[in-house]
Amino acid sequence: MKPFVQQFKFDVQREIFRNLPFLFFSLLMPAGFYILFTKVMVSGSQGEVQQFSGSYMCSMIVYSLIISAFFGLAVLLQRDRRSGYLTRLSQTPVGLNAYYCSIALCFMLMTVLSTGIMFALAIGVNHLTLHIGQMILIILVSLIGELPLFVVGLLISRVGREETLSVISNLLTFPVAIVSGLWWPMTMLPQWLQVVGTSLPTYRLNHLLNNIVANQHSSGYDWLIIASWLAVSGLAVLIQEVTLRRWRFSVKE
Amino acid sequence: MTEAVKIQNLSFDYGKQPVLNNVNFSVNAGEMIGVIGENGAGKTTLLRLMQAQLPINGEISIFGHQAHDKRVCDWLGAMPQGDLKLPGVTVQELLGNLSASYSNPANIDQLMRDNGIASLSKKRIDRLSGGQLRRVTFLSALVGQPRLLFLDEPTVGMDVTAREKLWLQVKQMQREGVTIMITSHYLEELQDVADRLLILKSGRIRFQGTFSELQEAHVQTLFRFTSSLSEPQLLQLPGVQSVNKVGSYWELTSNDGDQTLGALSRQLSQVHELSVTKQSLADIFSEMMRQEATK
Repeated sequence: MKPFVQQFKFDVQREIFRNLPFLFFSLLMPAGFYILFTKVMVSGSQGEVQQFSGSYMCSMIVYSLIISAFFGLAVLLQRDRRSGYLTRLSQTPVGLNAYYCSIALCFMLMTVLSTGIMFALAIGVNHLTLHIGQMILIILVSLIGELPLFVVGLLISRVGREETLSVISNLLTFPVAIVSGLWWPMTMLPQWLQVVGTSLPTYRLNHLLNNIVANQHSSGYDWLIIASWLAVSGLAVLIQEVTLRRWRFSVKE
Repeated sequence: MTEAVKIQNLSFDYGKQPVLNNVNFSVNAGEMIGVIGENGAGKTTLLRLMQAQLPINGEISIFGHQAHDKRVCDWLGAMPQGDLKLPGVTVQELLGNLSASYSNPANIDQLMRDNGIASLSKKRIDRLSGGQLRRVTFLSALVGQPRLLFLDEPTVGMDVTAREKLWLQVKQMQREGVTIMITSHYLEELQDVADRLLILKSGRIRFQGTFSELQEAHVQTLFRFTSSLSEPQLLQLPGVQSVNKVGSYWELTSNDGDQTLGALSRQLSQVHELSVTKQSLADIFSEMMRQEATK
């Protein structure tokens, strides 16, 4: 337990307190967008505005999770691998288990933080009515629903070059956010793109969160899509691991 | 004497490319052994295999345990060729983080003081110079108070003072009973610190023994002079390996310099402008590498 606690303190310090770009992009930027779209660029009746502020809060929570997974986690894992830190940790008696558990906990903490900031803005600035039960449920659903995103983050972290990862992260983040209807309504997209968008875990997670805000039952179909993405991305990571292992032993370093 | 490392029939290949071929050697506890070879000779692969970072084909025993044994990790310290360039953390934080994984961790403050980098303790890793980073990487190998220490080209990028400090520390550790294996490209550097030498060439051990054994077995003496003696006469002198005529000078190589010199001295009336040069260890090493290449 001691190595895990030490590792967690170490990771929180370097990843949360000393990582301003990450904090800005995954926490402050979605919060900024939320204020911009719900206070400045909004019109309609008071009821419509209230509904939009609840719906857009969910969108920005999901957007924050995408940034955490594709930029935060992927970059962190790649950097730790490239710096030799992971190799060094793997040589210790504790190995990498404490590290991976600590990273998982760090990103769960980030999820709680980002949802907490959105709650504070939705309630404090937009006067949205949210019960404590709804808030807890949103956090729990976010923590489970983000899993496929983090597995994809793990998958892309294995690319060799920092520049390539940056390109991949950008190519994934913004199209996924747009196609999932996080920035604009899905109806603004062509029909075929709507079909793609509704099959994404991000759309399904957003849908689940919106149901919680609207006090509606969650859909089993949303969970099925999320679970499918988790299974497929998990399988992809396994295949990648086996392939990389073979490649490493067939190419002289 | 206790064996710290015993390696038997160890082979390794990256796909179709063999890297180590039936390697056998052992290292006694408390011994310091230098591993030298050209780029791609298999030095780093050998160290990585001993840390069970690659699949092992053969036998590697560390203090009587298989290299895969998790307990072995607690006894090992390794300084890799690449540095630990982890951004966002201080030297003290990084070393503290690594030491927490060991059952008998070193006192980090003491370790930094002993190695003259206490002033860097609060400095961020990404703000260190190349030499400072190398020293921190060295200390990262010591955080678990290892019984067996691997140093993979430890002095690359270090200035002269830092090198001296590192070797002093390494010698002190040996005096305290730590077994040490060092890879290097610099034979002279190893000669100052190592008890024994292992020369690797194309994945095979070409020599293992002490430096004096290497010198005795391979050293050659070069004689250069003018003389009226003929080539067959010179070839009959004791110890002479080869005779060459370069301009008006004869050049002899001998594997028994004293005997050859004695024989030439007896014919001093026919030998003029004599100069004698003994091969350095570096010359011997280069010669060994050349011989292998021409085979």
